[in-house]
Amino acid sequence: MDARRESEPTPMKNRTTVQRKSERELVVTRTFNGPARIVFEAWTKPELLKRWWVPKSFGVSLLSCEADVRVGGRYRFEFGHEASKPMAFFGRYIEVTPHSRLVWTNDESDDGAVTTVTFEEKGGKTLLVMHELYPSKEALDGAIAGMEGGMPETFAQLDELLVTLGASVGRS
Amino acid sequence: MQGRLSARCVAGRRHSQIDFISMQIRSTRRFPGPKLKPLASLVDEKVGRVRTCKLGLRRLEEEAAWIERYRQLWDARFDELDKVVEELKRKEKVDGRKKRE
Repeated sequence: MDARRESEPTPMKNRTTVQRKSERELVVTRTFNGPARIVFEAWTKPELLKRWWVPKSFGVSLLSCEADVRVGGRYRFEFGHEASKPMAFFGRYIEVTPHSRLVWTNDESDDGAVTTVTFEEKGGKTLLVMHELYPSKEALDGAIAGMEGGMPETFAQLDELLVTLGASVGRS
Repeated sequence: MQGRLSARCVAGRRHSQIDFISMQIRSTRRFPGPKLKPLASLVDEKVGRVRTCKLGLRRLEEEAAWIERYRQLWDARFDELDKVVEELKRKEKVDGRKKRE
């Protein structure tokens, strides 16, 4: 029929939720106002990934963003204030199902989670569910408590980012 | 980190928390009433010349605070991702129109 009849709802901010589902699991959800193929594309093309993975408000820059999104392919995101001391997230993709499912490892530490992202399209919108499964209760507890020795590097880095984020919000 | 320790000892345990802890001690002593809800509950006790405080970390509250910070991180990323999605949608529409022409 008429393509212009496509409803274009007033842009409303969708909610992001985070929940600890069990001793070893964290689940992040968000709905996007677009089809799954587009949201999936934004997660799998490095040139698109780098536009949202480190928002400007974090106050740090993404130094490099490599993602070979194939089963067995590797990814590495480096960011920081100076190129000499980059912080990095890295691992490999263990499952890639176009437009519906991505699974990757987080190899920054032995306590890193396995992350599964699913894209579920309904009525032109996509529900994204990111599921992080830690190797043990202690690994997730360690990430949360930030205990010395038990804290995966990746979360220390997130904390650092958030401190930067808080500081930049405070300045503006 | 549980049980009774002197404030100096508690602070020494975890360098990065020194400021946080001393701020908490100051704020709970200086201001009457629950103005700031401390993340850690501190209970003062003075024995002789040493003031000790019991640091009972409220694990669940800490976890909730961490989860909220983690949520904010992803929320900020997803707000940017929204923009990318909008742009790709527009591009798809334009490309679709071109193909039909």
